[in-house]
Amino acid sequence: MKKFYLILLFAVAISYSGSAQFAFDIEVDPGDFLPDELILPPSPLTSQILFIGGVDKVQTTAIAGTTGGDGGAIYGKEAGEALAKQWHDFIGFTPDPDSEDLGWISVNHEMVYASDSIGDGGGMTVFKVKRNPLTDKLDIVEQTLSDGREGKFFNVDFVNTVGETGMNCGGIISPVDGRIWTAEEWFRRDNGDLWRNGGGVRDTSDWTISSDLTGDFDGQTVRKFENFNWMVEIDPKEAKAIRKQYNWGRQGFEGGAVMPDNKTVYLGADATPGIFSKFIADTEGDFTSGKLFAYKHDAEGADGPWVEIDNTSLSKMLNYTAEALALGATMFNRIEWVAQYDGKVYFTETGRDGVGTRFLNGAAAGGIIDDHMNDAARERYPELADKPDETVRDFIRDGGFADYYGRVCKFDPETGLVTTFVEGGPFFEESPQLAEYPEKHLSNPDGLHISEVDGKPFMVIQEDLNGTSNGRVPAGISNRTCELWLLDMAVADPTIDDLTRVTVVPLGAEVTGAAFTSDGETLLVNSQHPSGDNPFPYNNSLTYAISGWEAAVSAVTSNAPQVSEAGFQVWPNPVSRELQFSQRVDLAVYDMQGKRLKVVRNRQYIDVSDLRPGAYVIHTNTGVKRKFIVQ
Amino acid sequence: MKRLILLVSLLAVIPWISAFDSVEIDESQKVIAAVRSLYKQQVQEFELKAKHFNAQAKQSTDVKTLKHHFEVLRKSYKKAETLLEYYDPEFVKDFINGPPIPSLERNAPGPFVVTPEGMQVIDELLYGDHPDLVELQSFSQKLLDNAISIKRSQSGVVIQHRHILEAARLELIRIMSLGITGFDTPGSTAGVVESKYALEGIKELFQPYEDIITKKQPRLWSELMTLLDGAIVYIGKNQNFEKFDRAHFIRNFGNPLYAHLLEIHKRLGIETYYEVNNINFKHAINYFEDNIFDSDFLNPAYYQTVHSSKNNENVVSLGKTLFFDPALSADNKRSCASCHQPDKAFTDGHPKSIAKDFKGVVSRNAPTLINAVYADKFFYDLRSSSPEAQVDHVIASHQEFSTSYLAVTKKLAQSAEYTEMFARCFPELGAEPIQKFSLTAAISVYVSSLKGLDSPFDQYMRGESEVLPKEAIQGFNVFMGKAACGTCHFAPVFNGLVPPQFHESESEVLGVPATADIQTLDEDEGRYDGVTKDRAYIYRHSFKTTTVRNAAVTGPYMHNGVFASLEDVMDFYNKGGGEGHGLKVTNQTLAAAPLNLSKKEISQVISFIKSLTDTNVDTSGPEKLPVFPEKYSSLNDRKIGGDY
Repeated sequence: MKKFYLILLFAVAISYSGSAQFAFDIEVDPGDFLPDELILPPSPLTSQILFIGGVDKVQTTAIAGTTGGDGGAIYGKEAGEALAKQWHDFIGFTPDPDSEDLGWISVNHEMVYASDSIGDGGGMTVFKVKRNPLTDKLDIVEQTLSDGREGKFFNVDFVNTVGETGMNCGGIISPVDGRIWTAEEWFRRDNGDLWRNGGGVRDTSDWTISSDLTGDFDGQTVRKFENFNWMVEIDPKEAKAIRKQYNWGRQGFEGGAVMPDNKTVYLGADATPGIFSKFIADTEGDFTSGKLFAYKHDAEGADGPWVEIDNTSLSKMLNYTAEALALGATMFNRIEWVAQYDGKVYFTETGRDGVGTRFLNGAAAGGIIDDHMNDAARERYPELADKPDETVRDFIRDGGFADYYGRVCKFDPETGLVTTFVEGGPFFEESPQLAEYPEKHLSNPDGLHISEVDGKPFMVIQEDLNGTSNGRVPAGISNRTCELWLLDMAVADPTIDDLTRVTVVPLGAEVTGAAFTSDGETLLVNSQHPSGDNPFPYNNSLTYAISGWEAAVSAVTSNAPQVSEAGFQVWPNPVSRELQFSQRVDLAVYDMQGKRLKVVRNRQYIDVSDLRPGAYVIHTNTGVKRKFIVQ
Repeated sequence: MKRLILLVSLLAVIPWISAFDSVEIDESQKVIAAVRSLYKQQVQEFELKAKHFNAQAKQSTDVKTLKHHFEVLRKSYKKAETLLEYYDPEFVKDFINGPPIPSLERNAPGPFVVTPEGMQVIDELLYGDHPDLVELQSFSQKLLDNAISIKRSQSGVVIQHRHILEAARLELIRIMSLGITGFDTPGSTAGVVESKYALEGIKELFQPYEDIITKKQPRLWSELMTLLDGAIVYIGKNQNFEKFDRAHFIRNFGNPLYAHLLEIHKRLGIETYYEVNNINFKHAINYFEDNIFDSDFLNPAYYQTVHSSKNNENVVSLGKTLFFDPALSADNKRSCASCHQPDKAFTDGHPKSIAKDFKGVVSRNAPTLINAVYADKFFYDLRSSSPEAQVDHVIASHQEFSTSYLAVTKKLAQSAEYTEMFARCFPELGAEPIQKFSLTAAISVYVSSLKGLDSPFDQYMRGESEVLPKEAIQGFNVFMGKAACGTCHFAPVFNGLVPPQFHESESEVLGVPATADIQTLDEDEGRYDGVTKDRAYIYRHSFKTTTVRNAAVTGPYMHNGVFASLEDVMDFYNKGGGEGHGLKVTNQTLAAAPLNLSKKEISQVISFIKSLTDTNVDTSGPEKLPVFPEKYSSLNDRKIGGDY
């Protein structure tokens, strides 16, 4: 026995003696810690799965049989049910003022996929929810639509109404009445782009437009691919499309915003050059007739910084970008989602690693470069620091600015100016360091939503990384890490220091489509790209509801140290599921068997969202040893 | 003596338990500081040499001088490669040392083609016939700009001990699977000698660790130096690209170093990537394996979306039953095994598989499923992003199962036996365990269990066996060297999964003909017709690089099964693919120049391929298929594996 003990001790001693210099012990005595415990309470945010792509069944309408591009028979299905499409992106929420139910949820499917029963191309699924007074959770409401379909989830009928859609990415929710538009991104250039050897949109015959829009649209025939890449209004209550908004121009749309006047719509295109556009309806709430403008920051006519494009002409609308550039429109670098709050318009300019000659070609076609990117370019390229604006602009136009972080922009209709609201980055002379990441970092912002929580406005920003280079992921980490950020809109001139990271996504799945329900209590979120080792259903495309925001917002704002001792304080942040420290430390987390589970170095926090509820011990390189409980 | 050691050890423990020893922390920091300064020097040197080369490109027209300066530049890069590639692999790929072929812009709003730049482009240009020196100037200037850019972005990177060890092990994989094949030196084929510089770069990075590793155990340090010096000297003496004995190098230096660095990593007690990432995150490389030819070197779970915990016997067994069950097809006559037959290494031996009702054939050849899981994209056109998603096509295709998930899951749910099997495997699905998710997950888990990575070649490379025909060893060398097979069929799986991260599967445009007499290009557009985001001209006629493992028993070959024998395939490649045979192929990614392999060399390569045969997987079907109730009794007559 004694001998055994000695050998054991010897073995342990060996492992201790060397690792003391470099590392935290692989195993420790789990009973060795200071008596006071630290508790990481459950997150005030709770999530609930509402809708799973590929699993939940949607009710479909009948689609008459026709022939595909190769002469084969397609469609010809009776109304019935089918598994929902996947790749969820935008979420629309339409409140129901007429009943106890909360409202309708519309989900975009960002894909192109052939299906006899759902319809080819992309698509949308809609369903209705009500808040369960007992559990405070959302229940899916059984509905009967006027076309006779009954059930919970409904496929939005595009084929029988406005024609198939493709790659439904972003969209618009009207703040007035919850009307919903879906955006068709991924610009189609010929029918082959749609057909994809029968895997995409199989009916590639010419499309004859039937439309109530003011202009020469009705009755004109276009090639099938030209009927894609529009903003499309849908009726979430009846699960059918209403009209393709030919009078808003054909672009690789990503997002837009209807203003509270119910007349003005701002639109963004995911392209370089991307045009920022504005539509003003002649009559409140009637978007079939009105004027369309492209933003041109230096225009000084009666329309302010806007140039009008004749939106009664189909041919002009088909060539919208070229028309806008020819009139000298301002060029942006991939506008993603658009949101509005308090009369201002916000949009994400997600950036692009290699702009190449895109701005140069756009400039040759008449486009101009705005000054809002100048500061970012100057920070990145010190040699530009003292150069005049015009020089920096030319540098950007010529493709010199590798805008790999992007930014959130703000347009103020009063001043007519687009400014940077939150700049991506930060760009350090030294690349963003592990120590600074992801606490203070914003890369390739994409999804954008503003809503009031507990009477206070918050912006939700979702990242969608274009790459991992230039420090967009921490040193020594090889996977893409896309964050969801919360920003208090009360903060004047916000920077990335003001962003709060939200870890609500179980097991690190990426999210898209964040939208609050009208009561501000629940954030609706899509998980599109399953990543990591997620259990079912988190390895699917899914829509879920995250509730508890009032408590979360107060937890974020009153994030006080819980346990303190001389020189070192540690407190839990239940919203981001992190332990936070008053100073940078190296730290290891052990389970109660003394096995090392996690190590962080030179950090002010540790993310423990992946730890199961239970007790753990932390050891810091400064000698602190403490037990903490994940509840 | 023993007692003394014990005492010393205990003394060392005591201060640690109360707190870190500040002296030791200082020492650790000193090492980091030294590594940081070395890395800085390495990167600065690279930038300086890029500047020199650019200056030469601007003023000199003498190709020999330019080549000399380029070699100096490449050397400086290789010395810095270990950490540059570790800290910003994407930047290196895009701008410094990526393949000289056009690619698509990542995460862009459309399939935009990006023109390649960097040293591999220059290498190909400079070592080709009559290099265009004006073009060279433009590339050398861009390279210099990017060298400056990466120097700036790397100047503040926070180095950790973990990074050094992981980076060095990745660099060893890079050397073994890419460097010595000439992968990144397409024109100069200087890959062998450059691997020496890369090893010298690793050695530099470890110099500051001498005291610490020695203190741990003197043997750890001396063996590291012996191996590194041995490898460096070996390459120094054997620089001939064609003659370099790659099997010898990998067996005696590459893999032993890979194992030894793991031992050092473990002995120092430094954390690994498992502990700094989300605990549930899956990694492609099993870090604790010590040989790249180990059967478990790669983690199959990484390539699946199903949760790792589902890789268990019950799910494999359910997956196997489903795989052989014709009830998955509309008419209950065909199963997965119809085209993936276990006795033919899960192929069917046909150029293209028989379609439903014997109405012709399907559009492509049935590839082997053994080792099929090791890919990040599936199908010959790479249109599916997981093994699970592949099932979508088979279920829906009118030439295959001609049904829908909804119909199949409803059908299977009629069987209490099936319901019970699913419920056992997927209890979280509750009362309706038979769903699209569970059906595809079970099949995927079964297919991933078909692992054949223990061939005579693997055993030889792991040093477990000394017996491998000399011809096969020579064939490996030709495969990895002169024939350049290994620059697309990457070790260790010998498919298109790109080392050293094994995160991405590649496809290639080979100019595969419609018929074996090589008269016309096959009409199949491949990846171009796959997913929307791949619809760019560079992917016209582009097909997945499938594994060479078990190729000896899985003919006929290519996406259309056009070649009946390995000899035919070798002949096709030897003459430069479709373009080399005079077909009009735009954007062929395979060099159209002949390889000039002799008959003997071809036979050696084939001998090597034969040594990769490992079909020792479970080829038994289920003993019986689940029973359906009386109402569906005709189903109970269905045949295991289907009618045809």
